[in-house]
Amino acid sequence: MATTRYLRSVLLLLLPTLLLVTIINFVLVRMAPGDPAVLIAGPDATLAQVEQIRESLGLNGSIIDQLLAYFGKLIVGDFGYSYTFKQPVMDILLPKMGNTLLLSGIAFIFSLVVGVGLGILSATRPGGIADRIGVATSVIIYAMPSFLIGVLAIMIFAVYWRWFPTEGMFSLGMKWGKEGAFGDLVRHIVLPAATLALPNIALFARMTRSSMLEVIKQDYIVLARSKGLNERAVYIRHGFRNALMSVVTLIGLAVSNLLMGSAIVETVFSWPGMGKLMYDAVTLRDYNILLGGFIVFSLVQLLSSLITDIVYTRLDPRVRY
Amino acid sequence: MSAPSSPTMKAPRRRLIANPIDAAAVLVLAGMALVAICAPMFVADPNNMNFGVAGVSLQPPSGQFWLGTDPLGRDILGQLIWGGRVSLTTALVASISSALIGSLIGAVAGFVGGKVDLLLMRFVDASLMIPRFFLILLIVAIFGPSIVNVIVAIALTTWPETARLLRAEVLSQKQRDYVRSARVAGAGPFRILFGEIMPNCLHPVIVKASLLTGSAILTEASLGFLGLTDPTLITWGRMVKEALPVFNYAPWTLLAPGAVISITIAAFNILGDAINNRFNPKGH
Amino acid sequence: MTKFEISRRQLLGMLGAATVLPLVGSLPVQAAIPGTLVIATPYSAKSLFPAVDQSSAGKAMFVNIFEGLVRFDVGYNVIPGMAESWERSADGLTVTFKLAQNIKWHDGTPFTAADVVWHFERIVLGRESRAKTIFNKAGFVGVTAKDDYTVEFIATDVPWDMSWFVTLPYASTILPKHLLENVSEEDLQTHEFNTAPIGTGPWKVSEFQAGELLILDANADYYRGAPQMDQLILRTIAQPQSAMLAYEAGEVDALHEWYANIGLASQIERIKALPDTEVIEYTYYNLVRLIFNYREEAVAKYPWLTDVRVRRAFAHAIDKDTLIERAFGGAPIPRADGLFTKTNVANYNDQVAVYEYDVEKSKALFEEAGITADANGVRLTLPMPYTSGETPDTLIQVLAQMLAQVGVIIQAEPLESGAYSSKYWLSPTGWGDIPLTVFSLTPGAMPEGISNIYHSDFTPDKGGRNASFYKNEEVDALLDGALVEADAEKQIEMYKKVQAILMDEVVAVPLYQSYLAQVWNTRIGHDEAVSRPTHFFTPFYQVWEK
Repeated sequence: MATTRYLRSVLLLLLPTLLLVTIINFVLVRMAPGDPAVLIAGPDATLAQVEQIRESLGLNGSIIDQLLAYFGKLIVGDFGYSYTFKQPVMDILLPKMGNTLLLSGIAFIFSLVVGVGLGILSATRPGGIADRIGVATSVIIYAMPSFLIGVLAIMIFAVYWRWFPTEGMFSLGMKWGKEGAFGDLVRHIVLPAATLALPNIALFARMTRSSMLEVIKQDYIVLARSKGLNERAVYIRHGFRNALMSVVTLIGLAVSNLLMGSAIVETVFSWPGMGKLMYDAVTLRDYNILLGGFIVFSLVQLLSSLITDIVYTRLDPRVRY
Repeated sequence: MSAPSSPTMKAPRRRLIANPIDAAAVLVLAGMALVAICAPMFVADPNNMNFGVAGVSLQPPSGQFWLGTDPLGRDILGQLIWGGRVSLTTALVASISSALIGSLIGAVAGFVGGKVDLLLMRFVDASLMIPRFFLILLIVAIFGPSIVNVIVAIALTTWPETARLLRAEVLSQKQRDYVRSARVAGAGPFRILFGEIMPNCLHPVIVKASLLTGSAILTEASLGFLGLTDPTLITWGRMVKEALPVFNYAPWTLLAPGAVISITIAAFNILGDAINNRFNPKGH
Repeated sequence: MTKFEISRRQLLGMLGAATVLPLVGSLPVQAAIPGTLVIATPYSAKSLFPAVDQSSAGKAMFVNIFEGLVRFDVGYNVIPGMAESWERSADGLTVTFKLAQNIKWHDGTPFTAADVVWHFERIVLGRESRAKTIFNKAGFVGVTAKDDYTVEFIATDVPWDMSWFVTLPYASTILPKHLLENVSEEDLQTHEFNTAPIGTGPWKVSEFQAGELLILDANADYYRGAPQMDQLILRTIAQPQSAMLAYEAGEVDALHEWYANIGLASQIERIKALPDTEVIEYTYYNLVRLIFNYREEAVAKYPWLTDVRVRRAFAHAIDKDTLIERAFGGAPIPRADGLFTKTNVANYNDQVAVYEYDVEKSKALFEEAGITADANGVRLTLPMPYTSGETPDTLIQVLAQMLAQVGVIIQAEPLESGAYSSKYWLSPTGWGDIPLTVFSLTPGAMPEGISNIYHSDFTPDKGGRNASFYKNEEVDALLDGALVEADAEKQIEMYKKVQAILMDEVVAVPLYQSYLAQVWNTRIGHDEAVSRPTHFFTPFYQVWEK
């Protein structure tokens, strides 16, 4: 059955990834210069706290025991305790994850729609002025670091033109459920989402454009023409489908861009999400948060890879599991 | 790049530099390499803060300082040149190391096949699921922001892509005639893999290395922006960080390194594409 | 034309709209919230629980929630807090506090002497800290509740200094016995007081988002009268530029504790010129110094550390004015020439030895001490750690350049503040074998804090802050004597002598004191205490809307 085979391939990817992530976390903390307990305890810990942590890390047991214990904790979602936030890591991660999903989700949809749209536009008039400019700008934009785009966006749109707020997710005192919250959120999300989306827009636009251009040369277009079918309709249908499939292969890369971008863009715009949390955790040397966040992001990458596979199978009937 | 007038394809021009954009990219990179190598000839000491000169900090571009000065009174152009040495070297070393590691693992997997291949590919697949930037963040956070750590971190997080690539190449080359005849001639596996097959697999590695270099520059710049690089070393990323508190009213401090970073990344991307087109005209 | 193509006309139309839009005006900016004081602070507090978190960030926040027996007025004089009055015995060894009788905890429970006794026994003395060290030095015997509103502290060796009840760790934030007495030490770490503490202060916690936001409601039952505003919001904004933008947009009413940074100078003039804006500038009582290490390990590795000529050579190599000007972009940072802070005006000795910037003299001193330059002009190559968050990188970069001019190459090692503390500052081995470092020290408002840094009994392995293990018997004797000296004039003389000796020997090279600015929207009135650098001791209580 296709489903069981697919499920098996999912597990084949999930388990090794989890194992690898666990090992990386485990090894990194113990390889660090200094005492791992001091590392986890963080800068403001007292000696008593450090001892406590040394106990809980079980640094006296065998390596295998420690590894298994750590793995066991991860499976049930016990990512440990944050010594700078004085709360369990999960409690800190979850709300921030929501904020990041919101921002990245909007950015992703935006980049997909705009990117593919621009790519189609470009492909309908290949070689024209708009096309040439488009290709050139997409190369430059893809090469521009997110922080540069973000900083310029703030300079132009938030400071100079005052169209948008300079940072944050909500204005002071505003939160979910309050009157006017939605509008406030929209005002705050535009710039960071646009900044996050730009590299992927460039990516999708170029891919869409080249795969649609490819389609022009395919034999079945010639066949359709000879049959007298409406050239435009056939072109759009096949070209679009082909373009979508190529774009789907890029989703993994797009998600990867979003993950890296989220750390930078969230920091630039002070968006209270996981990317900014990771950055704060580095400055605070809160290793439990760093490790927990790392696992979460790995799972996100895994998920996107699996979804890409599913979408790809749906789109292309020739590919079968 | 216009649509062909007839359905039959003309044979693609197999030149590396097929258009002005590619030419520009190559020129830019060559120029940068030259300037970086000859840096001592152009700039004596990038750390020179011009102590004796009054009001030298944050000067806009002028005849004396072509790109202006930074908040500490240092010449921005001088810093770009010396920073380029470090940033470019870091990126190149990181990407070459990554390409080497990836090639080795991928080639062995593809060539040996069987259980070894299965195991290695599981490892590669799992490694591809690791979010690169966050692992680099983690490594830098734990081991410190030194240049060596950054290089190692980048190499360790990007080798899987090359491995996949090389494996596919080696697999397709394995069935070719020249391999069969080498075997018949009595050549051992090492000779076959490294002497015969690998040389034919170089081009995707070179393409990958070029793209990786661009991405390594971006990574270093991003780490610098986040303040996670060595503050005593001038790199492009560090220049961005130091420009942040003042760019509102001294935009050249940010635009200069920002532009150079963008152009360099773009150049490496274009170069990679050009090499790719040279060898795979219709795209793999 | 297909539906995919945009006509030239449409394109022009869009461009036109884009240029017109900004002229139409921006979206409305956030107005200040009536009844609420919104303050932007650089402090990012992760916990509000004094028993667990004694970081600066935590203190800056929970000072609004908790109170102590006594407090400081603007002149650093001790005035009543929750204790209406007190009596000090003739020999100073016993002090009896009379508590105000109308104080309630935020949950309504009355505050009594039992809380004070429990707090000092369990919290202040229940953990290793400078408080415990000082109390032990004083020969602390016990604290008892004479009745519900009277508390007595008894010592045997050193008379009670009332300021200890304000400045010592944990002492000025009394915690509720009825809520915490049965909580084990371990459970304190994860107790809900980290996010929702109950205190006796003028403000109650309404909402706390760790590291981002603290929303406080006025305590209507506050014993000195409810605050005149309904809500206090402390919003963490780390970047000075963002804080300034928020202020200009009207999103915050005040900028609290705005540290000088490289971008401050030109900004401060611009901010002063803004309408309805009040800027208060002051000097913080800390001191940033280039400190030499006198530990055996360090001296063994770098014997020149004991040679006063070499230390003087370092002092002559540094052009403090240029250093400050470059590193801080022209912000009005006061340069420091002595190892006390000017805030202790009475004790400050302005006649100490000053080492003017003189490259040639510096080089000559190095030569005299036998430290010659090699072919490249390099005399010494030294590792130098520093705290990357607190000491600006720009300062280290300029300093390194200046020292390079006399042939001393610095290999700067930035360490994040916590890492620096645990590796050097708080470690029992102090600065290990590192020859020198740049570090900011806050001796405190009181001169006795100086002992903590230069007295040889106060090395880190004994809980003190003399991490360089400096030992000078004359200084020790003077500091010990000053602590118990009853005659104010003689005491001042002793402290001045200490300063003279320290600078004569160049125990450290003082660089600068921190400069802070507060920015207030004039719609908010506030008393002087609120805008003094006693931020760790003064809540935002006396604030009102004009």
